[in-house]
Parts: sequence; structure tokens; C-alpha cells
Amino acid sequence: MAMATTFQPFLTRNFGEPLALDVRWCLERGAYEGARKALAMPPKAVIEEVKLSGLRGRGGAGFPCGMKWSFVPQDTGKPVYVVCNADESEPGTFKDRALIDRDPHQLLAGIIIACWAVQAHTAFIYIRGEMVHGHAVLEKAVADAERAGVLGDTVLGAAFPLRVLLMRGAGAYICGEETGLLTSLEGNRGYPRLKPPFPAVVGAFGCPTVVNNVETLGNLPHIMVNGARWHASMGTEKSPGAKVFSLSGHVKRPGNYEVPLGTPLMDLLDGPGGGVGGTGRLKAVIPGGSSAPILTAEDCKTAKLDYESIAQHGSMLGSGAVIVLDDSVCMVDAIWNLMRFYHHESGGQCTPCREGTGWVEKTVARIEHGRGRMRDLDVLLETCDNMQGKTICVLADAAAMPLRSYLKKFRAEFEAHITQGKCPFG
Amino acid sequence: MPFELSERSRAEIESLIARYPTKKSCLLLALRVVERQQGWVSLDGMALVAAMLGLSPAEVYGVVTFYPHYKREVHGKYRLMVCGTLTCALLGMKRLVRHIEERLGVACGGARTADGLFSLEKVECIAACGGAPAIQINDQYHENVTPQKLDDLIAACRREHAAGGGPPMPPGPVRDEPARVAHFLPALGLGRVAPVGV
Ligand SMILES: Cc1cc2nc3c(=O)[nH]c(=O)nc-3n(C[C@H](O)[C@H](O)[C@H](O)COP(=O)(O)O)c2cc1C
Ligand code: FES
Repeated sequence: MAMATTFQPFLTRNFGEPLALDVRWCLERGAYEGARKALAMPPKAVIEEVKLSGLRGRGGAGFPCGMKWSFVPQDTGKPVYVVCNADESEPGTFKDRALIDRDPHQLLAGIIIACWAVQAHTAFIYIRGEMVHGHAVLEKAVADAERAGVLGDTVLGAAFPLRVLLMRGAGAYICGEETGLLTSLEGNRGYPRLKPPFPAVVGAFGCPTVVNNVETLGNLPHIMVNGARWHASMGTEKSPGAKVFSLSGHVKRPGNYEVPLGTPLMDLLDGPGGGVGGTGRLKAVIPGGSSAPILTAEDCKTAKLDYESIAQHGSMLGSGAVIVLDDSVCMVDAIWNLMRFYHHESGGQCTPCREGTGWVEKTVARIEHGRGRMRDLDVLLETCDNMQGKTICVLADAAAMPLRSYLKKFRAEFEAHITQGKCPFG
Repeated sequence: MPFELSERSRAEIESLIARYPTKKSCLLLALRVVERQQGWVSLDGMALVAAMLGLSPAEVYGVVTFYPHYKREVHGKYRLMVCGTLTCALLGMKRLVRHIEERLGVACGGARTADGLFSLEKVECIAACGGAPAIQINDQYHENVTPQKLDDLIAACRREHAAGGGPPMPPGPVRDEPARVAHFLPALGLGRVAPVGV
């Protein structure tokens, strides 16, 4: 395949290298050169460079990174914070865990660049509670970096004090949503907040705050070293760069694979992924984490792994978690599993979400168990209507969007459950 | 005997207070300090943290009960957390749950084993889908788990326990938790105060 010969992975280049945990080795290998280069530029110029690179957020929403930074006001008299979102909990996603465990200094270098760009002297890394190892890796990396003069009162010799503080979550998906994360960071239940104001203006502790995903930040050192043009030359015009895709489910070689955006979905699946696993016959693919609407095998033939192409196919690239389903999978059972997830993870603040996710879970369970009625299918869609766009954060939408898509693209399977009075898949 | 914070735990919480922007923002980490020292987060531990951070015990209890990952009295010394989300479900999670239930005689999400060693619960995607089915035993990830591998892991836990190792053993459900909570939380009665974790 063409991509394998021309594209050099950079985000994952140290994945096989245990020495990447050693700050000395990283310094010798130039892991902090991008940060050094940024610190020699005016902050505004760094923001411009990142804007020019076209880098879009890798946490799920794909928002342009440089633009987000440019919303941070510099005249409030308050401190500015940078928060790294390492709560990785979108089902199917396991790239940030790998990026932290295997190359923590790439992340710290990215954090330095982001902090310089928005003039933040404190950064937080909010890591999910289950990732005990990742937390230990980061604790060591930060301590080593402080001893090596990479962080602390001066950063790489520049008179720019910067400290990085770690925070551990404790098992709540909702804390991955940026405002839920900030409320949690402040020591509360992770209840999301209304936007606006956006975190860039009123974020952590009432101060301007940039929230960026681990992978977004990991791109920055490479952009600073190689230049915005280099980054923009990869991928597509509107989705430049490369991305780590977490490939899982019925695939022969599951794992994290870094490919340029715009790579055909089937090239990822058949190339690094080794082809469809399980029965060997593809039924469907979830292209961007469990919140992403489902793609049929037919959709997959033309879908490319960039924000626009996946959107044209009615779904979203999201976090880049590609879950492969073979033809033994009951789609009602699959969406039941996910609706159970969203019900369990609803923060409970907003009625349409708290109650809606519960209703749809119960209704889908009833259909799966052969006790559904045709009417239920309309009730499900109506419930989606009452959930979407009616809550503080978009968790309700994240549940309703996939449900709608399964109902639309696999309606016959739902109907078969109802008419046969049992799950046809046994 | 009521729980007391050790010198080391106190010093750690003090150092958090010195570094983090507000006292309250130390809460999630201070609870981890209690969890490490005690082996779980008790009501006494919550009250002590509340006092150090200038919060009401009610507030702390409200936070702890929101986050299912904190280890509590009800959990076993070895907390078996099986990922129940889609990729793991596609690749054999149910078989693992059944296997553990049969081997240990516990119900998933129910009470722990009579000897207090094991509890079993389903958790949501633990970011290990590339190695599905995945489980965590306390802090440790295990991927591509098979029933055979589970037997080995359970045996390893038993050996560690027999040798006097591993984390402290939680005492089991606090029988009078509602009454005690009502006592130190006069303002409670709102929000999710369902039993934690399981
Ligand atoms: C319910 C929900 C869960 C989310 N979980 C995560 C997460 O685990 N990690 C993450 O980086 N972003 C997550 N996000 C997206 C964040 O809100 C936010 O957009 C992102 O961290 C911004 O960083 P980026 O611009 O670098 O992508 C989630 C969003 C929602 C609505
Ligand atoms: S679905 Fe089990 S680890 Fe992600």
C-alpha cells in the first residue's frame, strides 16, 4: 500500500522504545526541540503556526487547535491554565493510554508549547483513575523533567516558570467532557456546565483554560520542529495530519495504528489490521468511538478516515476508535450494550439524559429479549428527539446519535426480533 | 478502632494543599491517599479529609459516591473488574463473568466471597479494547483474558494473600452506613447515594 511506503509515523515512533521513558535519552533525541523552538518565538507566532498547520483536536470534536487557543483572553488579570484531557473513556478508544505509557515526554513537550502559546504557568493532566500505571509514568516523567530543567522555575533555559500538576479521575465517563472535567478538577462531582461561557474564557477555577486531548498535544512538538507546512501536507486539505486509530473488535490484528488522515477505512482494516476477524465477513464498523453512528459494510467501501468523509457517510471520526463487527453480531444486542453504557455513565444532572438513557436501554433490552412491540421503534425515535439538544452537555446526543443510526440502517433486525419474539441470533 | 491518618498521609495531603490552586481541588487526590493507607475509603477517612480541606463531610460523601472507582468497604481485597463494554462483549466477556461466578461462587455486582478475598463487578471500557476481553484486578490491567488465564490470576491472588501480601482487606459492608451517614450528613438526602461500585 502506498501509505505504508511514504508515510513515516511520528506520534507512535517511540512505541517500541523503552528508553523513551528516560528524560536524558529524550533530550538527546531532540524530544524537546519543538518546545525550545516555540519558546524562542513570540506566543502569538506559535498560535499562528499551529493555526496554519490545520491541526484539529483529537479528543472527539475535531475543533481547530490554534483557533481554540486564540480565544484565550490575555487581559483578565487572572492566571491561564492548560488542561490535558487524559480521561480517555470513549468506548473503543485506547490510544491516549498508549501515548502516555510509552512516550510521556512527547506529551510534556506538547504541554510546554501549549502553555507558552497561551501564557499559562500551570498545566494539569487529568488522567482517568483506572490508569494507575500511566499516572506513575507521568509522575516520574514530570519529576525527571523538573530535575533536568525542562519544567520548573525555568523551562529549557527560558525564564518561563511552568509546573505540571497531575489529577486522577475515578471512573466517570462524563469527566471526559471538558466542562465535567473542569468541575471534577475543582474537587466536585463531575457535573458539566453550560456553554457559553466556553472554558477558553471561563474555565478551571473561573480562569481562562485551554482543554486539549493527549494526542492533540502530542502533535505539537512535531509541528514546531517540522513546520506547519509539513503537517498540512499530510492528510487532506480540511483534515491535515496523521492520527492514531484504535482498531478493535472483529479484526485479525487489533491495535493502535498511526496513518495519515484520509486513509481509506478498508486500507486500515485490511492493511495493519490484517483483515476482518471472527467470521471473516464484515457487517458494520463504528468509525469514531461508541458515540459515532454506525457504518454498514457498504458504507465502509467508500469511507475514508478523515472528518469530512466520515461525516458524508453520516457518522463522525470522533476519537478515532474503529470497532469492527462481523456478521455474527446482533445489532440489537450491540446497541443495547451501548445504551446500557450511556445510562450508567449519564451524570444524572439533566432529566432528558438521565431518564432518556434509562428508557432507551430498557426498551432496547425488551426488544432484544423478544418482548418488543413495533410501536417501540417509534417510541425510541421520539425519545431520541427528546434527548438531543436538550441537555447541558452532549452525552445525551452521544447516546441518541448511534441509536438512531442502528434503527435506520438495521431496522429489519429490530423488526425480526419483534415478529419472531426472540433474538434471531440466539 | 476509628481510622487515623498516618504521618505520611497527612504530609502528603499537606503537600497537595501547598501545590494545588484551592484546597477543594485536592479532594480527589486526598481520597486516594486514604485509599492507599487504609485499603479503601471509609466514612472516617472521608471525615478526616473533610476536616483537612475545610469541607463538610456531606460534600465529601457526595463526591465519593459519584465516582465508582474508589474502593470501599464492600469490595473484596481483590476487586475483579471485568470490562463489559462493546468490544469486550463481542470477544468473550460473558464467558469470563460466568467463569468467575462459578469459580468463586459470587454474583457479578453482588456480595464478595465469604472470606472477603474477591468481589466481582462489570465496569465500562477501560481503554484496553485492543486486548479484549480485558479485566482489572485492583490496579493491574490484564488483556486477552481467557478462563485459563483467570484461574491463574485468581490462584496468584490467593498465593499472595496466603503469604501475607497484597492490600489490606476491606471489612465488608458497613451495616449502619445509612444511619452513620444520616448522622454526619444532616443535610443529605439528595442526589445519588446508592451503594457504591457494585
Ligand atoms: C460525553 C463526552 C465525553 C468525552 N470524553 C473525552 C475523553 O475521554 N477524552 C478527550 O480527550 N475528550 C473527550 N471529550 C471531548 C472533550 O469535551 C473536548 O472536546 C476535548 O477534550 C478537547 O480537546 P481537543 O480539542 O484537543 O480534542 C468528550 C466529550 C463528551 C461530550
Ligand atoms: S471495550 Fe473493554 S476495554 Fe474497551
